[in-house]
Amino acid sequence: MKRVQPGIRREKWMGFVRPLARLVLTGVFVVAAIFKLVEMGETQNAVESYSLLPEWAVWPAALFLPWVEFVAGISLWVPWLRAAAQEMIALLLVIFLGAIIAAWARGLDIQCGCFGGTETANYPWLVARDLGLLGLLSLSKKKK
Amino acid sequence: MKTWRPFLVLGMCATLGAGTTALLVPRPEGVNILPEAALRLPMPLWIDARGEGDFSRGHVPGALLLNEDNWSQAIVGVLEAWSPGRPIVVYCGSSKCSASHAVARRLRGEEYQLEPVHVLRGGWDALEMSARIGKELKWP
Repeated sequence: MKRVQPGIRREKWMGFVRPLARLVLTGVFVVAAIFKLVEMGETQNAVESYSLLPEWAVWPAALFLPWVEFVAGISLWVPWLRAAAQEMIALLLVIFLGAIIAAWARGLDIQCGCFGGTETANYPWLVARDLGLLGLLSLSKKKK
Repeated sequence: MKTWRPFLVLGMCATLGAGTTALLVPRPEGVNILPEAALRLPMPLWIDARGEGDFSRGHVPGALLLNEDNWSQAIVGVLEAWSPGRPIVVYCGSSKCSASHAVARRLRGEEYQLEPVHVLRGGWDALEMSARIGKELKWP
């Protein structure tokens, strides 16, 4: 009987996991972007509730954020844009984590705004979710 | 392919989307408002979303107490005091509370559809702070 080498088996397995991870990331970011775009008022309030940006920057940030998420999520499926989209998603997740931890440290009662909703933030869950997404992102990357 | 080109393309797509949204969607009214801007509003209807104890210790003159606990009784007074177009400013204790957001959402919602409804940024603490550092505060 022919034995399959562990490296080949792993690569076969990753060939299934990588697109699945990309699919989940695309789903999360595109859905989050659409919810934000549908409720721009709530998105603006959510951005503002973190108290990180000056007043004049809140609306531009609320306009850009969903589009960056949308474009990055979709671009994961365009081969020549994939690496840049992955870097962009990593940067977004690090910014989100920083903003959430900063709000948590200051004891702010923020609206997450992650999916356009108005729910009050559950900090441990948000941090765990963003760390999970970062893990998923690393799974979606092909090792060079 | 230069490594920066994909980033440029992504950035341009996001900018195009954001620009189009900015053209199509006017900046929503009834969002968070700074104390100085709130005090410049014409005849705002102030709504205090804190508890009764905080309200009795001090509130914006003329403010109406409205929160989840007294909603069914107090909403009648709010609806009587409000007239179409009159801005509403809701505040709670500080930036750490969310009662003002909850009250504002309910006032804007399907049931009442009042607008514009603003939430005071920083709440009562911000108003007191503005007064302490000598910014112009003309109570209604």
